[in-house]
Amino acid sequence: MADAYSNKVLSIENLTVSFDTYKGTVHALRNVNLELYQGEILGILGESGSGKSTIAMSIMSLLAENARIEGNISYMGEDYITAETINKSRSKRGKKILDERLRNIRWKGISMVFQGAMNSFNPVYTIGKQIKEVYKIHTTLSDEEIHGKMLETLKYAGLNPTVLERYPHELSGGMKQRAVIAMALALEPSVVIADEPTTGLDVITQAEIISQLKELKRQNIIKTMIIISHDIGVISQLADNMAILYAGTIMEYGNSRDIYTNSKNPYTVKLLSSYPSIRNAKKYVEGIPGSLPDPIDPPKGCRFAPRCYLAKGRCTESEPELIPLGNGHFSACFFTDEIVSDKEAQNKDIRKAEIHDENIIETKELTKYFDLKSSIAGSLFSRDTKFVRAVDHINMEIKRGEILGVVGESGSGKTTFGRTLLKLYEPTSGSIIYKLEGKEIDVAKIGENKKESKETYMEFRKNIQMIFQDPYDSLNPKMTIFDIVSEPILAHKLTKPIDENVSLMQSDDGNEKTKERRLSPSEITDMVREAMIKANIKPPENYFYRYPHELSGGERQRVATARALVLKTKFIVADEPTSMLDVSSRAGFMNMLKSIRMDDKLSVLYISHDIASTYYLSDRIMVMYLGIAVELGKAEDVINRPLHPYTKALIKAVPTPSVDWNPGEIGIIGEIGNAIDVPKGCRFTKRCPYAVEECGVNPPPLRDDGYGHWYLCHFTQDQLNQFKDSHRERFKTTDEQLQ
Amino acid sequence: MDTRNNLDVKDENKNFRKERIKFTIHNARKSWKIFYRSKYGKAGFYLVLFFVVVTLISPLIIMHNDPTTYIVPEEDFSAAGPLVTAHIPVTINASESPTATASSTTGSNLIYESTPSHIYGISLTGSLHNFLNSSGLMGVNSFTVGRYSSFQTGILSLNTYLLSANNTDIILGKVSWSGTTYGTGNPSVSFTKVSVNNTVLSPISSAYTYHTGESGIPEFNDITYKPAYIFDINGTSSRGYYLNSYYLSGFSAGSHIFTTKLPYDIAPTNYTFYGSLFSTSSSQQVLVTQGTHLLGYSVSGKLVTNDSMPDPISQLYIPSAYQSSSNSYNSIFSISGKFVYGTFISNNTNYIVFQSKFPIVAISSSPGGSGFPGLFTVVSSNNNITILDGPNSVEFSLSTPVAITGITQYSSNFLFYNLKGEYLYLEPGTSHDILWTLDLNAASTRPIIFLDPNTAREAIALVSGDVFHVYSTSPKDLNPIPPTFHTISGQILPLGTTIHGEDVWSQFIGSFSTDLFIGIVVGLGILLISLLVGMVIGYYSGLISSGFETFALAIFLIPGLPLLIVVASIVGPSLYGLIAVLVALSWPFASFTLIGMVRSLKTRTFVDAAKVSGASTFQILRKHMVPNVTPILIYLTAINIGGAVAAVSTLQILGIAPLTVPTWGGMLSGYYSDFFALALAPWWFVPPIVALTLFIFAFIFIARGMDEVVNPRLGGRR
Repeated sequence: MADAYSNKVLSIENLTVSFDTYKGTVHALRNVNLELYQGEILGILGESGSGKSTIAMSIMSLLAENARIEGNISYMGEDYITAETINKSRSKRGKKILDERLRNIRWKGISMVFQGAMNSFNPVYTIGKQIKEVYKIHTTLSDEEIHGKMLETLKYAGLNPTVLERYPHELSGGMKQRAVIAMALALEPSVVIADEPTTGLDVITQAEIISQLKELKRQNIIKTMIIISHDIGVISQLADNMAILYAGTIMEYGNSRDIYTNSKNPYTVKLLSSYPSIRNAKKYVEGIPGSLPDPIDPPKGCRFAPRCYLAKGRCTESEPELIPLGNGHFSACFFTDEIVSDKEAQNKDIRKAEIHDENIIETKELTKYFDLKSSIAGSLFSRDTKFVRAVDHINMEIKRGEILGVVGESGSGKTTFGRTLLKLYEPTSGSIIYKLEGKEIDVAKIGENKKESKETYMEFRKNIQMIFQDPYDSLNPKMTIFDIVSEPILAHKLTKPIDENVSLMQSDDGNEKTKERRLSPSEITDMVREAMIKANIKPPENYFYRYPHELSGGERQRVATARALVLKTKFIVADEPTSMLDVSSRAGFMNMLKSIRMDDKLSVLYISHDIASTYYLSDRIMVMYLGIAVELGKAEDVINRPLHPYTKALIKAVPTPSVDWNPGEIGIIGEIGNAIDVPKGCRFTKRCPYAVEECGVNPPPLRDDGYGHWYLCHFTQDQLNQFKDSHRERFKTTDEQLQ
Repeated sequence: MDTRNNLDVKDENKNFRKERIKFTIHNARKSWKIFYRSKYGKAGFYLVLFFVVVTLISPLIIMHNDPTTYIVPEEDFSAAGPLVTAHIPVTINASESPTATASSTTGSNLIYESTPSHIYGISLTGSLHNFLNSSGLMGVNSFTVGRYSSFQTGILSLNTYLLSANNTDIILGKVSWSGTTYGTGNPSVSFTKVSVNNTVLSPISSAYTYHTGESGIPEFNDITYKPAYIFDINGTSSRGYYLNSYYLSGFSAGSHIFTTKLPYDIAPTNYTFYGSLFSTSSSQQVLVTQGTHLLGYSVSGKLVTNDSMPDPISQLYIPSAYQSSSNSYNSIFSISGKFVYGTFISNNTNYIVFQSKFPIVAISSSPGGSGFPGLFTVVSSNNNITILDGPNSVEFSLSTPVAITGITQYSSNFLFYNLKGEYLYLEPGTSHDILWTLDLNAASTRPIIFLDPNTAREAIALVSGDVFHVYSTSPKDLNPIPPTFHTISGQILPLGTTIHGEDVWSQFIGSFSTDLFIGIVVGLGILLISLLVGMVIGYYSGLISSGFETFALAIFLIPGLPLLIVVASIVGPSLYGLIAVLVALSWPFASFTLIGMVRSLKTRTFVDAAKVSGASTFQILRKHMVPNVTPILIYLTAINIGGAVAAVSTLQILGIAPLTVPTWGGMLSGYYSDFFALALAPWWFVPPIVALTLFIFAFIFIARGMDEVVNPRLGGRR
């Protein structure tokens, strides 16, 4: 496709893959054509279910047995996968022949970093042994030679040779991912396929891995690479060319920059505008309505047509071919000319939220320690007390109508904090004060089972709700949507006052003095309907008698939201509500949350590790590190003028689709570690590039800029800047420090 | 106004509930469809349906409600024990009765059989000797006569004579053996013929036919001391009938003693000799019946008895003891229509012995050594056997499944027959039930009871077509009887009998309800306990919960079967005790499964969500835990039902805690005591084996079918 590359390494021609399942035939890929040239990095971008991994698996010929393949894949000009060879491989003999042919291609020619491979190390063997196995299987090298090769490879992957003697559980996620990359590079393959290489890693580790890959490419250790991801940031940082995949078809192919700046496909346009970005400030992100088509029964014509804003009659009748637009840019759309970058939507005015002055919730020195001796055996056999300091003396307040974002790496205690606020965890010390209609409730002191506080407890439960991270787990699969959403109403036995003269209806205890009655079914239904409409589930009646498994992830999360809203609650804790959703439905969910907040004067604690979306949604942001709030301030301030060294690193690590992003200068060492053995002084000491001796001894003071933006550090900003200048070398050599 | 509002609310509630119920039914139907669509589910459903239906209709089809104690009538499983079955080269008609007489203390060595053209001797091994070729033979009698010459020397030896006749001759044969003693070597018969005309009935002799080992001094082959006579009746209805008497000694026309004309011109039907073994000839008589008349002539030809009955006399019968000593109570018994009469020889008067509502077919009795025979047997035409212990004194009666036409007797034992090959053997002195039966399913001759020299015991000989049979008088136990729809007692045995004679069908059908009951009660018991335990222990964590879990684990870890055996033997063989034991020992497995389920459910976010929603613990358990464990509960219950039945069966097979109700396992316990009984009586063991297997599989299939419903990945969209 591009003349710049003379040598075609890999080409995929008319690849169509389908899987026979009990439900029917799942059409995973249709007529995919891709070419990979020497020295190219090809990015494949798509939402989950678009068929990204199927392409990778097809290339490696590792598809499941129920797969049916049409089309050819050739490596170095040799067709090694054709429909014929695959079909022959169903017989034992044919399989042997294919395996023989693949043996020379797999790993030596094409190697792969599998999705989530860092979690698939065998826990009983050392890393060294497992890397060694690769050489043993594919080469005839002696042990010494292998050892030498291994050390070299580890260096490429940015790992210390000591990891060879370590077991997988002794390594952090980032180190394991590096080890996986080392394994992929072990035999110096000409093509490396990296399937979601950074998914499941924290943002800082992700940045490190990306820069490592970039460095490897620069040194020509990785010669040619295919990178597969759902994250535009990751792809745009690495890929020269990009293929946008949707429902098994390539929607657009071209130079990364072309696609990013001059998209010629409505899906690409919409997808790109679905990613909130810390660069785009608080510009409106729209998302794509609807969900991926049913892979068993894909729509006729263009697969994106049902969700497309440009769709016309023609789109649903015939399928568009990839049309060359010049300069190696292709797009599968009938209306490439009509596409303009959807700037209007981004410029859509964002309503200013009305934030009241009064606090709805305040925490004072809120602490939650988990006792490691929670089991009987533990308390019998362990002597010293160990705690996980998940939440440590946090002070914060949320105003009525405000969204407070909480960010931090995993393990920083965000979720524990949110759950403790809801009393899903019993706070160890400190207080949580809810201010409800003039009343002040210290939730830390009340309990469900204490008789005197039962009423207060129910009052608290009624007004504080939660949206959980995993919509697949937070809805009972055995309950209908109506039952799920109406559960809080029934649980709270909501009543309604009735006329004093009439005592026909009695409450359950037969007490006639209670001039109240339970809500009637139609009143309950009205409440459910109202909540579901608020949560953008329309029309609600269609969903009443459906079960969660019939809904998509986005719909489920809306149902979970409707459940949280049904009691007209005042405060919601949203714990990473979008992390399990497809990119295209994330924006929709966030916009919904925003508009509810405005209409209902709802306060939200928004917990996320995704800084961009937190920025998009929140009024203020709190940054947590190892159970401690290290910085809190207005969202714009925290993102644009981060004060704490950790926040600075965190924001720098967010990959953006721009060339000048350089994650090599994150200026942070290692990974978050655990909250059991925390440093005496500043918890960030061990990773902080500015750290001096004092940091590890005394707890840092709170430094306030006077506008409600504070951070915890021993140093002022001026001091930090001085350090930065004098220690510039330290920021550049993170790789070496690791060793 | 507000009242109306409240009524509306009530109405609304009702409608809402209705809709909910509709929805629930709708869902249940969907689940059912998925369940039914799976092959396992369908198979399981129909199997369970079959078991339930059979259980429900079992009272109608069980036939015997006490299957554990019921034993089929003895006649069905007690059969004649065959001693000899041999093919002979000739075919014998059923009317051609065999005869035999013992001419030595060892018994009868030959069975004599005459056809119209031949007289044969059949040895007890089944070899056939042809003694005479003739024509128009009237049947053969055999009797034993003492050798006078040997009597005089003090060592009594005996000869066997055969007597037959045709239209022209009386034929007397003397059996001799080529060996040194009687019965050894080859037999041969020398015949003497005396010409007579118009012989009416086969001639008789005064000499005794020793069927069995009866004792007594026989008559002799001389004319001075206790001579043996031969009688013959000839004549026509127009000319009149004449009784002729000859000496056996030197039998010829010349040994003729007397000829006397019978008083009536009615063809004589029976004649028999009375007093064969009397020490003097003074009381001996030859008895002749003519229609309703009973006539008795002394050996010198004098009419000494003349009696008449209301109806023609069809049979004369003299008990064997009356033949050996002359007593005042000696009677001649005769059948006259529906009456049995006895006629005292001493004073020529008669008395009614028995009166029936139906014509009487045959009579017989025990020897009667001390007066009226102790057991007097009467067969009437309504298939009824009446046993009398005195005139008009019925001891008992029984009805026979087949029509009887004759009786053969020895001592107090009676063999009833009907020439169709059906035989019943009765020992009324010891049992009021038929001791054994024999059904040859082919026309067969009258049986004769003779003394078998091989066993020195009475045996029964008969000929059925071309097969010669010798049977023992003692029964053979036929159990286990194979499935049959024709038994002597008339009931059907669709699955035969056990080795003890129990009806397999009734036990099998009766087991359905017991086993289903045990399965369901144990299944539900485990369900309730494990649900409670699983919920509480799974949901709450703490010391008590851990302790209880350890306790459950302890029960779980003790090897199941030995524990079951020990506890079951302590509790003892009661159905409910056994159920309690099974429940008490089986709940841990289900409970552990549930504890695990509940613990994993507890960590699911929707439980947290419910807590946040304000749901109480009870609500969480009821609304979130129970529906999610319901499928696994059904699954476990299905497995437990099968498992409980399997466990009970194991106990029953091993014979621990035997129950008084039928179970499949109990039926199989016979197999445990005799490993080869399965080969011997597959009908006994195969039904419970098949039923048990299917029963357990049915519930496993149900469980598999439930799997489809439970597992949404397999089940697809609902």
